Amino acid sequence: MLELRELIVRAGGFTLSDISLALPERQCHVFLGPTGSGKTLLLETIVGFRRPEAGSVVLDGLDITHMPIESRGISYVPQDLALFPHMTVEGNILYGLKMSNNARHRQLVDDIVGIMGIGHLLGRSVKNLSGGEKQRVALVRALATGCKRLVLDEPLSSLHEAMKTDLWFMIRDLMERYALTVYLITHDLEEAFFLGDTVSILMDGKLLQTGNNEEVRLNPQTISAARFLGFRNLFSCKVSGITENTFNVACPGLNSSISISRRINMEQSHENGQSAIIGIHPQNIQFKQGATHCNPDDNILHGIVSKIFGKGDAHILHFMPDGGAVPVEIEIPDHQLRSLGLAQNKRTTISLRPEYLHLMRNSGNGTV
Amino acid sequence: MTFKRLAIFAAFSVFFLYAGLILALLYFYQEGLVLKTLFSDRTLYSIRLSLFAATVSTAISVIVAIPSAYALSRFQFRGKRIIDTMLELPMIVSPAALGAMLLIFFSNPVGIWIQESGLQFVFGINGVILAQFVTTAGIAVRLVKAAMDEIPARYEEVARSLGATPAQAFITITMPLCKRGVLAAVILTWAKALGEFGATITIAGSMAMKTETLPVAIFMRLSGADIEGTVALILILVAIGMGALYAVRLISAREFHA
Repeated sequence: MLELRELIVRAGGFTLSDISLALPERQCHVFLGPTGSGKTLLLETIVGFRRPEAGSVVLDGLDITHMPIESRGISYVPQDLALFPHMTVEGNILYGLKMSNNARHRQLVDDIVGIMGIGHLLGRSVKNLSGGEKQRVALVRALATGCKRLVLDEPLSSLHEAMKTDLWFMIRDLMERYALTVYLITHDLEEAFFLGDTVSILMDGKLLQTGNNEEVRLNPQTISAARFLGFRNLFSCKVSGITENTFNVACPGLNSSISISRRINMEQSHENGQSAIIGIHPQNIQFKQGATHCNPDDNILHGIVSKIFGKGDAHILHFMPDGGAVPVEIEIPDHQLRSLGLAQNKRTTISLRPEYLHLMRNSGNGTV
Repeated sequence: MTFKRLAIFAAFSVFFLYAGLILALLYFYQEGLVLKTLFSDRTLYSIRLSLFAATVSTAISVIVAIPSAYALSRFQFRGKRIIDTMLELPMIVSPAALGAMLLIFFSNPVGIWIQESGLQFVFGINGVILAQFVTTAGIAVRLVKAAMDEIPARYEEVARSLGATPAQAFITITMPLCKRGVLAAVILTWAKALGEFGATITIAGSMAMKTETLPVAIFMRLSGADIEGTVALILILVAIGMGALYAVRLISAREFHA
């Protein structure tokens, strides 16, 4: 178990403040956040490149805050991979073994080299490898020491989608085979939720939220976290009623009263009359065009499609509800757009299903 | 004239400036005299002393420069800025002034004690080496630091996460990666030491067959209005210096392409 206890780390004018986390073994812990949020600084503190100003890093009950990097047993793969350019692939991979004089892991190295399919590259200079080959070599080098904990700092960010997905599967496979614990930094939501067993969202040096994959993905706790997780529709509202299963809110921006499932918003407590924010992901909005019967709890909104933007094999639509002040952003696949015959300025009906709506406390001034 | 041509013209201008100066020597060139001067005991001694002193002072400079440059390149510590500024001293103070500073130091109680302890610097070969070391150490640190600054510290961090100690990371990663830069520093430091005159003559004097390095010998010949002998010695110094520089450059280029 890796525990971060009230960590404060400063780098120049940036401060990573009051980070407390407990991360169990044999899982992939993803640190998610935009550029400049402090993700790398946090992992550099875990690896030992930086000393915290306050707080401690505890690994299996042992305080490693001031322990030398080489004694921590945490391998590191940086974003630029930092393959040693004066060595061959084999030289890179065997570097850790040579430093520790540990021949026991030689078989392990051969196994990992086989799994990652880089046996044919061993004699080559690392300067002549493709991006994907370099990523594999960097991963093998980190694992070759027999180390069970890996810190990966956006190592896949420069790869194209297909290669990235291949490596996601490989990382998952390696985790299972060798009982690895992975601490991964990324700003890629797909990567985070594919690889992460637990996900922590960092923003402006603060830990906004941490939890298991689904908890974080579906239930952002703050507006900033929701925005980062792709909840493009955030509307100010006021809680107007609370029943056993639902929160009812008045949402002037949508000119409508909306009911929200309490089941998926269990983490949050709200009171009548309280100002709040509704969040919904553009992909979770349904069209009800031509539906003859609608359940009132489906939060039906009538209006027009005000704008349509192409996005490869999908489209982003702006739907303006009747009497509403702000458009609802909806993402639908290309085939659905065509089958529904949606076009600009066409009247239509949408449903904001209660189970997809997230109610967050509005800690600001009531505007989104 | 395009910007590119202008830049190339400037490069050739510098070349012709130095090439012109070397060619001008040929006006006083006497074939027999060069060989006679070269094989005279006094000149051979000066060549041996120059090569020996430049090599020893360069070795000491680089041995001091490597850890110093590493500290300045990688770590933040109190006094770093003042050390960095002090490295410029040999560049802002003339070599003669540096030599005078050394002479004054050895006239102080500490300096006198060092001399009386058996290490003779004033008017001795040790003084030649010390003068060359003092004029080149700062430059050597500056050059090696520039080479180390080019190597991202990230490599060492990764090496340490793979189990290397700081010393192992330095020896196995940083040094091999900056070896060309260090080699360049060695070449330039050696060349600077070989041509050192001001500090050397100030502290070690110009005693024939004792402290007379090639630059000092050139000065002595010129002082005696022996232009032909001066030309011969300059040509020897140029040939040794340029030949050594060219050889090392060839070696480093071969290593780079290997």
